[in-house]
Amino acid sequence: MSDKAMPITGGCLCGAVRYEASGEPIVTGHCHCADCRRNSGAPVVTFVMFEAGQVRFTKGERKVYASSPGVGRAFCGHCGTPLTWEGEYEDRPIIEFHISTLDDPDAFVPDRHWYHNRRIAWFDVADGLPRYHGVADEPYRHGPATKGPPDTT
Amino acid sequence: MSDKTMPITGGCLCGAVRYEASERPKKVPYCHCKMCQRWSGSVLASWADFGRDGIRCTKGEITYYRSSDYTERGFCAECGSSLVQRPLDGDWFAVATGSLDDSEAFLPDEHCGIESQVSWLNIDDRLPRKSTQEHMGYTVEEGGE
Repeated sequence: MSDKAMPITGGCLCGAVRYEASGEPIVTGHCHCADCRRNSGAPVVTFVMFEAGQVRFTKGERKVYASSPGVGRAFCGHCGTPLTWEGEYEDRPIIEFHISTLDDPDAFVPDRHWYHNRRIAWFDVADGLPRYHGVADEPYRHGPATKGPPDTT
Repeated sequence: MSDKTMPITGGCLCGAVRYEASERPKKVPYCHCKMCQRWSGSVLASWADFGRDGIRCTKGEITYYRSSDYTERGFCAECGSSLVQRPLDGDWFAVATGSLDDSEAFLPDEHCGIESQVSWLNIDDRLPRKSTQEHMGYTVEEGGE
């Protein structure tokens, strides 16, 4: 595993925006909500969450889109890579990085699914992780709700 | 799946960019390659592939980034939503399925870029799995212009 003393680094596809985070993330999880899916174009996104104070942008300038009250989604204005979801979690200011923007995304393994009730109906991930309505305190199920899409042939 | 009423529409999160397709997609591949992962912000991207002229921008403007020697990727400059990908010299035009107004409309039909699939990700379907080389006929490294 990575050396815990080293900062966690990452950035966009073109390299114009770079960031680093110190210490351990608060949590790593998937989000199935409609805004994340529309913003990424993907069926699900995965975030690594840090307290805002753990994060430093070391190169370039991220563009931030205010997607809802109190929420910003940062991206690189040159290449369009989505970088963050920025807001509050359990009353703390946080910055979540899209996991694939980390230089070493395999170092962080998600342990939950947020907004699982808003997922694409036929899409799920084959794992036994807890699934939540929104960011509720307790999961409503563990394990996938869907075993792959219907046969299209 | 029932046939969809044409046209197929989509756009970005903020609404500044809108597009429509005048045909059904030819293929609907997931892609796990490192470039699609990083550019989508997800561990897998999902595309609906149309013909070169199959997509028309109906509002706003798609901003393009040349991500490799082969393709450029289009996004909204206001909200950063990942929207499309097209070859620099080719006959296809792909939209990120999450940008479709009905993102559930088209079921994926294969996985590509599996050489880079994240180790903990398991999608339980019986779709064919292909590498980037097998799917596209070339390999790419990250880092465009």
